[in-house]
Amino acid sequence: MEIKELINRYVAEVGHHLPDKNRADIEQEIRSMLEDALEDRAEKEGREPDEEMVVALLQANGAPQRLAASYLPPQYLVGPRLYPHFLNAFKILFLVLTIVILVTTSISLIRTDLEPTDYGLAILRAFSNFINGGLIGFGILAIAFWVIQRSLPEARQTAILKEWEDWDPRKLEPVSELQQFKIGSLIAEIIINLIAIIIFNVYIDHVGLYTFYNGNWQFIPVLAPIFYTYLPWMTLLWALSIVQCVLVLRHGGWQPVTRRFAIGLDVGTALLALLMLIGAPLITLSPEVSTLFQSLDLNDFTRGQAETGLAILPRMILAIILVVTIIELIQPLYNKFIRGVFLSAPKA
Amino acid sequence: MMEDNHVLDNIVLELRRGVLALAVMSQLQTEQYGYSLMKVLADNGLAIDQGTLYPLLRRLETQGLLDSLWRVDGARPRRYYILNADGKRMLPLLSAEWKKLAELVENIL
Repeated sequence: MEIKELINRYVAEVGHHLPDKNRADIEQEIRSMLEDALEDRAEKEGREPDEEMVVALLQANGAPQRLAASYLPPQYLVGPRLYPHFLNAFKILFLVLTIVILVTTSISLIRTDLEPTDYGLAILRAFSNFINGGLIGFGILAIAFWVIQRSLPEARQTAILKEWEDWDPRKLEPVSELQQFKIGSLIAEIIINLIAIIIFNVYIDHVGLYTFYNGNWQFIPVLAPIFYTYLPWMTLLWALSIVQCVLVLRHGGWQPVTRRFAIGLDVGTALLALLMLIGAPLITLSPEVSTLFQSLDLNDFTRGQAETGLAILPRMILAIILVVTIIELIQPLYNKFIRGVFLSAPKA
Repeated sequence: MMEDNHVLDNIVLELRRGVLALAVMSQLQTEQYGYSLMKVLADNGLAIDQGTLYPLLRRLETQGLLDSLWRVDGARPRRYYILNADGKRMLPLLSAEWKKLAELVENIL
């Protein structure tokens, strides 16, 4: 191949990776430099330039893409100065998406004609919607920040960076509960979850009311058939909770991965508690239960109140679990995400 | 051992990058084109490849420290660079900073 052709191709390839603005000027300079270098090599080697010499020169010069990249400033999708804001925006998106999925899934399940398998499908659909929504949201955020990155003047980016210099140690976040490592509470949690798994899976037939009537202990089953539909999910959450505690103990403290695991577990617990709360009754008031209350020599009103109380007791427990879980879920997220974004927002 | 050499090479590269602008500016008190400047620096022990030198020259020009012009020299056009008034004012300041830094590092070592 002709020497000039090789150099022309190389220069053209470099130019393909350059912006239009200075392309012609840079191409001409590179061509001039290569011709000078070739002349120098030929003089040192004492022979006329040939294809082999040109190939060696171009290879020593580096791949065209690499040479073109050296003329350009670093190309970021989201630059280092905007990245913390991008991360905060994504965390808010994650939080909002979680709440929306929880609410919409709950609304879709407020129906009495659903089969047990429909609940499982609804949960799967919720996870699928969450992942889809997360991916779409992430993509839109990335595009938006890319546009900001490209259009934001250097001066404004410097102003954003300057916020990092004007910081007050007194405004630093308090150490959250999740970061503290309480071995006693973790071990207690493992034991309680283990007991729950054993009782509700091995001794489920013994879960009910026990009464001492007519000189004998009597057992009255109270769990409704719908409870057994939820049991696998409850067992899964208890097992995952044990795994989480073991991981924390193993690492010697909370890590970002175990914190995220805890958040996921809280979301799952809240969702299941909500489903159980709004679903069919978990307790069956069988005739034996009525006989039991009659044997307690209660008046009709008190007996009615007791039967009602027993019927709604599981829902009250679930409501408490749900509220506590949501508070546990939102509190560190509020401290970390919303407080971190709005209280440290860039000054105008 | 190979990993140590790689680490050393990277750190040495960072050290050299820090002084390139000063070295280049010091040689542009007289007019030079890219390849001749590269040879002068190489003759003085500071080898620099085209992919580093030419973007550096453009950057210094964008920062208002160099002037450049195309001139047909013999068989081909060449782009000549030279320090302008701002560059000539900046050079002694940079040299002083470099000497201060070198002395400081020397004391630390």
